[in-house]
Amino acid sequence: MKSRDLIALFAKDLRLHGLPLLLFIGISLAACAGVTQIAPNRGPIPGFVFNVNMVFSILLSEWSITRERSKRSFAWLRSLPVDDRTVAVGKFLYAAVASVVLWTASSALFAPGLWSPWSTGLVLQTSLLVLGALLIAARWRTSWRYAPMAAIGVFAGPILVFLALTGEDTTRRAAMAALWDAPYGPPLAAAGLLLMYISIVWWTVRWVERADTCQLVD
Amino acid sequence: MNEDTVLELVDVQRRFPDFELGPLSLKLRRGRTYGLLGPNGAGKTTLLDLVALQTRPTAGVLRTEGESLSWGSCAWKARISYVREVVAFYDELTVAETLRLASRLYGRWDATLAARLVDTLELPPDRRVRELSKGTKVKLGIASALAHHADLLLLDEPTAGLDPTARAGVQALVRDMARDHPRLCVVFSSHIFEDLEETATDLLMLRNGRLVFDAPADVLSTSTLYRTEAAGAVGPSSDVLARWMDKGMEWLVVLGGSALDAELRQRADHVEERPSSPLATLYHGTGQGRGDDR
Repeated sequence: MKSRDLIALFAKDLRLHGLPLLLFIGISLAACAGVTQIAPNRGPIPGFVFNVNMVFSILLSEWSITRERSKRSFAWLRSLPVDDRTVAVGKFLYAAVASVVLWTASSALFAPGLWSPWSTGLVLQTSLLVLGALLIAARWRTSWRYAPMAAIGVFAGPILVFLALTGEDTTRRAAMAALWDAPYGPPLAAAGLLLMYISIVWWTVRWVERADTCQLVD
Repeated sequence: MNEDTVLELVDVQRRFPDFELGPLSLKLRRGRTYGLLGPNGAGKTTLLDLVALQTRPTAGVLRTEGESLSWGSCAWKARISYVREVVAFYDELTVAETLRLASRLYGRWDATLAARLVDTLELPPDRRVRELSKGTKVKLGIASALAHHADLLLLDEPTAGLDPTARAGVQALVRDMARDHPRLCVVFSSHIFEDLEETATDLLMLRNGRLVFDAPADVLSTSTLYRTEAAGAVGPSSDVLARWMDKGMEWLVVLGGSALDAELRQRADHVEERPSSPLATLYHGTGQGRGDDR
């Protein structure tokens, strides 16, 4: 993997989607500011901020993968002397940087409580990275239009199962809360999510390296 | 491997659930323009994809300079250029930006030559790719190929869908390029006979995934076509360039001036035919019944 190629691909993606990316970030921050002004209390604001970031992850996968699949520009990219690992890692890196920028800005400005303790913000950030990576992987592996739904299902499924299993006011819920409240709880969760993110990236990069070009385009 | 050979394919095969290309063996040489002919679905694009490392072979070896090519080899991709039938540059980028991106990713890039090619090929540097015609996109692909001094240029149906003027322009460009870059090897796929007759120095014909003809174009123009009811009377011979059966008759394309040609001229059971286009006859003929390898 050459850093020079990575920078060139990164610059290309910025040239292609830089403007819509900046617009979305600007509009999102404005929307968060608006909600902060009109909301009767601050209760729903962290949820709103997180949801805006989730939508951003979906848009990023659309811009960076779906567009290249449907316009077949992956085919041109792949005929150039750039190794597939660089192309694939470049896509994840681009989405990760954009996600970190929006999450850091939006949560720090409008939901600073999410960073107290700081590790909670980190857990939410890594979960957004996992969602983004799942969306990119799903988009890359298939041209199926419902791929994002499947990715969101994979992301949200375990959380819903957990909530269903623990239930309100149960000892299991109390045990999980105690685990979360322990000093190592959130860092452990963030590390687990980070490991999941790395696994998704590794698995997708391996697949891209082995795939025929016709599998990478529609 | 001869130093003039850019790439050698040895028993290369690719199997899909509903189609199989090969096994086929061939050599691509410097300074030659190969016309790759075949009907839709014959395997032309698959062959070009294999050569460009876009499709992984199921079996066989691709060799260059005595070394086997590994899947995804950037060193090989740096030596070739592949212009697909559906030319897929980034629509939002301008011509200049597209060439700048290519220049950053190719190791060897001649910026002076690239600028000259933009002028020579009348490429509009500030125009976005989405605004270009297919012919201009092909020119952009060719400019990119020449600016990084490719050894092998692959053009997949570059004239498909072009009007006659644009088609003639692309043909002329390929001819000029081959003349001005004597070390360059070009593989040009098409199913338009005129494109190939006017441009190719060598012909490769695919039928149902099989290479049924591989010879210099001038060999075909000086060869002799025979038809006979005595099917199988002529055994396997290197002088038989192609053979096929049609309506109970066997047709043979025989190397002009060969011993077999001289012998068949004397035989009453073989009738010489003089088609107006040997290439068209060969193409249609090998599409009848079974087109055998020579």
